Amino acid sequence: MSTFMLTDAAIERALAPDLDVAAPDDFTKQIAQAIALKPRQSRLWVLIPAAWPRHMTLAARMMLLMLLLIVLLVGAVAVASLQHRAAANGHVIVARATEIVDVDPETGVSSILVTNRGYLFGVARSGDGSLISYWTSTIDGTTLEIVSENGDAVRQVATNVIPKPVGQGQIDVWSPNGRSLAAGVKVGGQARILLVDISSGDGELIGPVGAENPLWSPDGQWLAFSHIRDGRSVLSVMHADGTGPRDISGDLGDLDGSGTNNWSPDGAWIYFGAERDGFEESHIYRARFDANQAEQLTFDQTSAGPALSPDGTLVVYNRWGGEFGTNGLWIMDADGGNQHLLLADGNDDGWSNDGQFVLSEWRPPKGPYELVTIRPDGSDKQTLMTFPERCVSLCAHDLAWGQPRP
Amino acid sequence: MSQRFPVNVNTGVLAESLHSSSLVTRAQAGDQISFTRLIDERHHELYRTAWAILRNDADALDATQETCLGAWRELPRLRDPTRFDAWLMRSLVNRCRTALRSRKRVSVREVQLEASGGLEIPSRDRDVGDSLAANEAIRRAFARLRAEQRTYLVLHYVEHRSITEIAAIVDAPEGTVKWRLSEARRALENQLAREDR
Repeated sequence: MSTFMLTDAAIERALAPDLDVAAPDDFTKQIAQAIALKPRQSRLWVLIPAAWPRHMTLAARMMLLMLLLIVLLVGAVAVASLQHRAAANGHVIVARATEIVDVDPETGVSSILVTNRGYLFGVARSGDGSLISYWTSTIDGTTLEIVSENGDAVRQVATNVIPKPVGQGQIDVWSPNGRSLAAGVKVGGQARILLVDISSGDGELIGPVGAENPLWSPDGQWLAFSHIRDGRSVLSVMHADGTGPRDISGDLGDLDGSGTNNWSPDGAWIYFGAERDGFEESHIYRARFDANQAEQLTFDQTSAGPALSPDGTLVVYNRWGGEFGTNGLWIMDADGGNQHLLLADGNDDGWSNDGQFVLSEWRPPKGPYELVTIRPDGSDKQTLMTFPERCVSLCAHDLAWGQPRP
Repeated sequence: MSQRFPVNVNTGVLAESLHSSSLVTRAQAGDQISFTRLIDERHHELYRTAWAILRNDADALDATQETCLGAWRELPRLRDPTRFDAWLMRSLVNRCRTALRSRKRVSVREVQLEASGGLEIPSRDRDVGDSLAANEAIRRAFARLRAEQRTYLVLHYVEHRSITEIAAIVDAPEGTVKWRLSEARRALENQLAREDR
């Protein structure tokens, strides 16, 4: 067969259904019968007195009316309190080359907290926002430092261990009570978990050799981490002092756990990603704390970087490649249901402390990348800052706003 | 020819007639007759699109039925009634994608090229034209494409959707749609080139 010269007309002729391709004549009737058998009940029937069952007694109706009034009153108070959204979240802290920048999400006004001759990265913030940790890299080496939220009292910590960071993607995590900082580090070329006592500034290496990606439990009693077992990266937990490690991720097939991401507020689940072949395939899982078993939450396309909302009900994550071009920031229920796109061309940078907003590095159709906040229902997208023109991808290597970054 | 609505290229929103918008609104409120009317006006187009992607009567019927029943359940969640058509078509292509993924092997119908009762034997020439063999070659190549690629080709070349309309259906930026459409076309050409070997 000779070589084809494929034309648009040829594609249309080949792929267009024949004229006799049609749905059955009774298709609409079948659909009508199907929906008649399963009428859709309004989910808000309780709020519509006209929709209340006719057999409801007078006493029941009065009770329901009183409940409706209470709900309306509580709702009004909640809406009024939303006006002061920034108070619960504090400012966004961003590392930009040799500076640590504080950005007020309410006003967009930024100020420089720290200026250093070295390159700054690996920013993490304590839960109450009062302390900020970061790494500094100079030709003399790297150091781990802590500064107060107003830029005062800079000090080096863990100088007794002299750890090295794992890289510029460093994600350190503060304990819930703010008294400790856990960091994945390299010591003697080996991955270890460093525990820093904030009060004394002393560091201690805990857990097995090879442990990395630490994550605190909500009660501060446990640390989840990843490490290599039988050639595969698995997830484990250990006591906060490094004792009693055990595996929790179960059998991930030929995928490698790519770190720990979030611990649900009820302590039951740890959310993480698992991938193979450099994220050629990547999915989101959650592992049970009390068993060696993981549940896969995403199945289609490439998904990674889950971030659980502070109330543990929603997960935002990155999804890209494959079908329909819906690359961007996606959101789903904590059990993996209701997966849908939240922000096209957005990257997942975690949640605000109050769970009202998601932080995202977003690529607009034209112009430089922007750091934006957006509500989980997709509304109220606001730009906090714009990155330099030369930055073409993942411009915010380091930022912190309450939740550990995914 | 399927019904098309004017496209507002500035915002990418399909401008819909008052008739359809009011039907959607009533259907959202639970009016089954309005919903049935919406489906009656659209089910042929849905079915033919599903068939073009899936190339199979049974699968196309399943996908179309599930789309319509799913639309009835989920319609209250649709915030903008003017986006009903894009929303419905998106649901359909998602179901077609799921159907394709569940297939273990794509079956390709072989065509016996032999002279019989007036059937023309295609001659060897470079113009694809009316060649029966060429049509079959394109279909075989199409059958080897990924679900996403098939969808883009059908929406554009068979359904004659504009880039803006496809972007609304697949919920992606227009630039992404253009790139993926050209990628799908290239993939079809590559598969066709394999036919020639």
